[in-house]
Amino acid sequence: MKRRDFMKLSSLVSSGMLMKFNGVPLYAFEGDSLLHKIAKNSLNDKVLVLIEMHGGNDGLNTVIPINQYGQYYNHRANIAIPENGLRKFITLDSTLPDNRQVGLHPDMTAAKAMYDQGNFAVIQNVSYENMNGSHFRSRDVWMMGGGYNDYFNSGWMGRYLDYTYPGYPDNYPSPQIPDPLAIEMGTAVSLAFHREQGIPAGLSIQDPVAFYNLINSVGIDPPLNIPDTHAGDEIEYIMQIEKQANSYAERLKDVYEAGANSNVVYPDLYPYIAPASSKHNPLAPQLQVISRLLSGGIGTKIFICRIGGFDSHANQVVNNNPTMGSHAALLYHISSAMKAFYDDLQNMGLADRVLSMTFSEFGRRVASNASYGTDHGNAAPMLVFGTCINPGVYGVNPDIANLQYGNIPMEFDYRQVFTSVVKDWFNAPDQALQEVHFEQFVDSRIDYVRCKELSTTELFQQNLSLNCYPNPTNQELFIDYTLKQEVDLKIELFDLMGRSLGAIEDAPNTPGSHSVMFNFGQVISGTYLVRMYANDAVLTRKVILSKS
Amino acid sequence: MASLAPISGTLGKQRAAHLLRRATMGPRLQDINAFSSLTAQAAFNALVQNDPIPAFPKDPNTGTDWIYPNVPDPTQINDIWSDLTKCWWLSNVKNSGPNLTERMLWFYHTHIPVIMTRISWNPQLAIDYLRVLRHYSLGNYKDLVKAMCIDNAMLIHLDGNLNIKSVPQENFGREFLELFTVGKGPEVALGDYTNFTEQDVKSLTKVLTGWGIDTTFQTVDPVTGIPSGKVKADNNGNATQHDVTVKQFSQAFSSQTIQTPNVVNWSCSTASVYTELGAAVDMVFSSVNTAKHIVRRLYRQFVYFEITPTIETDIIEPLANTLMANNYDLMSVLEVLLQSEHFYDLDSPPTSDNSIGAIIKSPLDLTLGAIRFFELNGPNPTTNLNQHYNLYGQLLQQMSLQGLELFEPLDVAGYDPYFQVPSFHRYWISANYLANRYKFAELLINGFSSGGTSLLKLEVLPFVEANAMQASDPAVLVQDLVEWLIPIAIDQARFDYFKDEILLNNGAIDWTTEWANYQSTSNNTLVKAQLELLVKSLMQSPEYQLF
Repeated sequence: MKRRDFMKLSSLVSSGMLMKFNGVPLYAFEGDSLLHKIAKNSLNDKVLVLIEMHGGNDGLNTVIPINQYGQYYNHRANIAIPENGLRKFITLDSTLPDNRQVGLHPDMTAAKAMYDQGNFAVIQNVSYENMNGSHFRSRDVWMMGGGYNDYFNSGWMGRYLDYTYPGYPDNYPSPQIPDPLAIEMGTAVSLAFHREQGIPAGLSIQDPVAFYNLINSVGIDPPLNIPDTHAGDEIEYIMQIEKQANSYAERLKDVYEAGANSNVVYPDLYPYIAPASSKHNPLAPQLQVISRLLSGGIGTKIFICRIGGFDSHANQVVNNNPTMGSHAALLYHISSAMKAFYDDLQNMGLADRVLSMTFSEFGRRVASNASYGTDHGNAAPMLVFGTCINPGVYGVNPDIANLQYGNIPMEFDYRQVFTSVVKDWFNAPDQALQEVHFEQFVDSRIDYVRCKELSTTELFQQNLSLNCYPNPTNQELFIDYTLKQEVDLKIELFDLMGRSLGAIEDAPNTPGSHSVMFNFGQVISGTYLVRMYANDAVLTRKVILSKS
Repeated sequence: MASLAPISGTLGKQRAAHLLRRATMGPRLQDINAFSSLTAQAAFNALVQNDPIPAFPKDPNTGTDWIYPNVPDPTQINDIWSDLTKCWWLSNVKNSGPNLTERMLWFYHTHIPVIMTRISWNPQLAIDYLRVLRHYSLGNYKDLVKAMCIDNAMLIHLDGNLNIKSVPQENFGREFLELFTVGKGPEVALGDYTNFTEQDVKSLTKVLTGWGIDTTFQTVDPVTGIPSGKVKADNNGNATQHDVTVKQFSQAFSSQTIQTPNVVNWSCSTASVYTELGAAVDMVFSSVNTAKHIVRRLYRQFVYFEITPTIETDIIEPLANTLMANNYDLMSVLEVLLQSEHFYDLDSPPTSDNSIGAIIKSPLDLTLGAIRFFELNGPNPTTNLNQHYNLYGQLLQQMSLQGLELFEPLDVAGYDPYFQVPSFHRYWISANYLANRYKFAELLINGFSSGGTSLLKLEVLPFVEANAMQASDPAVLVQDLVEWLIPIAIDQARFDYFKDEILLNNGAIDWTTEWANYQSTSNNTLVKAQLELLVKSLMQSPEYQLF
């Protein structure tokens, strides 16, 4: 019997990872030769990990404005993080000016450690104009990449990927782009049925192969003709999801199996007092899978993880101790999971490819309520993690004496933050920024990305150049480059999975034109990347090694 | 245009099946047969028959329920009660008759949800919440919403019990306006959502101050007979936490004010708090936006997720007027909608915008619908309570794998497929959810079991023998099965695929001969295997995911 090769899903899928965006379909543009060309020339291997704090995070108990502590305390005495004692807030950086003096929640020691390593930043007071107090509408706004009165049917990430990878998903996977462009991780919140008489344990990400085997026999041939009706639309949609699953399942499993985590132990339990439902770290297992997929060579550009529990109208802290409780546990989980994730990535030499940040649909009211909680508010900080960022505190502490309807007003539009991702991190051309509808935020984008790939104009201004020949080569590669000034310089070669082949020793870093040579030695034929790091700038060239 | 005019004549099988798929928790063959000879009006009259009120669930340790005046077994942990309650609900769905009761209860839950883990510390609250939903399942939406304002579970879930005069707690007041009643319109100015404003949230929150939960279950709603929350009061019956100031509402509510009656010394009686709640509910329900909002939700549940400007004009607006004219009796709307030409794809001129088969089944509909259709029965709860719970526990697990955490939506707005634009019901379909939906067919045929004991199993062969018109003829047989399981008409190529490639194994099987062999020898090996393969294939098709 003719059976379709169907539904070979990987572990990823078993853990609730959806190859779709949250509410934001990645609908495809028609294929177009110009766009194809751009996609093929896209050398950027940068990855974005977005952590959605679902429900509206209380920014003021995450990042405490030290210079306004009195005001802060007066507005929320029953939940305020103390300024003294064993569990006082952690001063992030005492060298910052007064209006940027912030304290982290005492359970964010890992974030503080990352800051001290240069791997953590805070962007204060992020929101959008006319913040809508609705969870749903507000999440839609953040995901869609519009303003309060926009109603797009696509999301900013979807539009970016559409532009960069024309024809997705129909024309993919392809030999060049074998992986899903974006993966949404499940919440990993298991509500398993605990009773004495055993029922089968839930499928878990720890056992991907079993899941693969379990379901790779499911499914039948799709219908040949689809009726032109609403029902037909749904059949087509379902078939598309099937096709997508078929296309990627085996690949994801292979990547997952090819990858491995380093010996870093990911955190699990919150060590202090919190409700039972908040004790386990919901983020760490998701990040562990992402790390393993990256080590296996996945080319996915964006990962989204979602953590619930932030809608803290009541009991966000435990009675008698405002430093513990469900909100504290969530902050501990994010901060400790991020530290483990980057330790893991650094051990494998992958950290510089990954930028992570949190976001939430809104912050919370400055004044707490009598139920040890906070109501829906407006602006809140975003937390940025990564080894390729400019650490620091962006923006100033909110002026708690001058609130807007009891809320912290917006200092940065969230699109100023995401524009830096698209332009500086993904190195998207201007046209892509227009497609994403971020073009008016380019000039006001926030400069937290350190490893920028410079645009042609910017390169011209800095008078940097990098040229590799012969290309293709069969053994030796000559690398010519020009520097206008003395820089911190490194020239390193990578494969497409981000693994280093080695750096050029003693490459001159003085002004002028230089030429160095790299010998591929025993390296097998394939496509490789030459990267030149000149201070904060990065130039990349693709070279092909073709041994006859 | 989309027409609310009633269809005429008897329904016939196809329309009866469509009606029952949408209005009940899944038809059985005998239901379809019975309804097919009814007119649409007679069918509706049958749908509004009350389903018997199910007995409370029993604790397997004690053999009794844990509803006051009974007490929960103190040795159990709260999660157990949550699970037993969910199982109870599922078994009620499974056992419900061909009527609207459980469908409406599910609709209400998706629209006015409560998250179990927020209330699980008291194991009666979830059951009382479900009882209130059930009480109003064929009834009055306004009364339901009013009851929900003071329901113990809801007072906890949206923090209403924490809302006191000195420190207002807006959570419930905001969701009351945004989710349950007028809904949000365009934001025309900061804090002005057309249908309500931030001022209304604040004023309504004041109206709602001073309510608390009653876990002694001594406060009983006189209408429903079900325990409710109560006004926080002192020994003299004076409300202690209610805000008695004047509440000013915005132009969205004609700048009305609401005042606490009979205020003495900045306090009032508990009766005044009830009266004031009634006044606020009256005010909000006098807005046509409340009627439109709930009618749109009904449309999405019963017809299709997309509300076009045509649907808004032709369907939503007239039905909203009907609803207001009938003082929010939802049945007055369903009586029109479920008999309408639009519901049965008989709009004139005809369009391809059909509603038959156009909704993706929820995991609840997929799993329980199949169990109901094949009339499968699990262990008898009277004689084998543990096994009964074990089965429903496994079914809950399956639904979870398909993307439905029953009674545990991630969001206070409920489950994504019922409200999340733009895709609505398509959120039920992801790579992994879909695979688990397909897998369910196989599990059903292989059977659910526990420790070697079978709990539930779909025996395809006996079902086919009992119900197929002519099982010996492969074309007639496949036609039957397709009609049973697929909500839309399929074309010849698809039909031939199921018949020739699946049942007849690409011509390798002479079905009529094999069937005759089975009849004469009782050796069922081959026909059983092929029928199971056919049913499994049908249930693993994209078409089967729809209803």
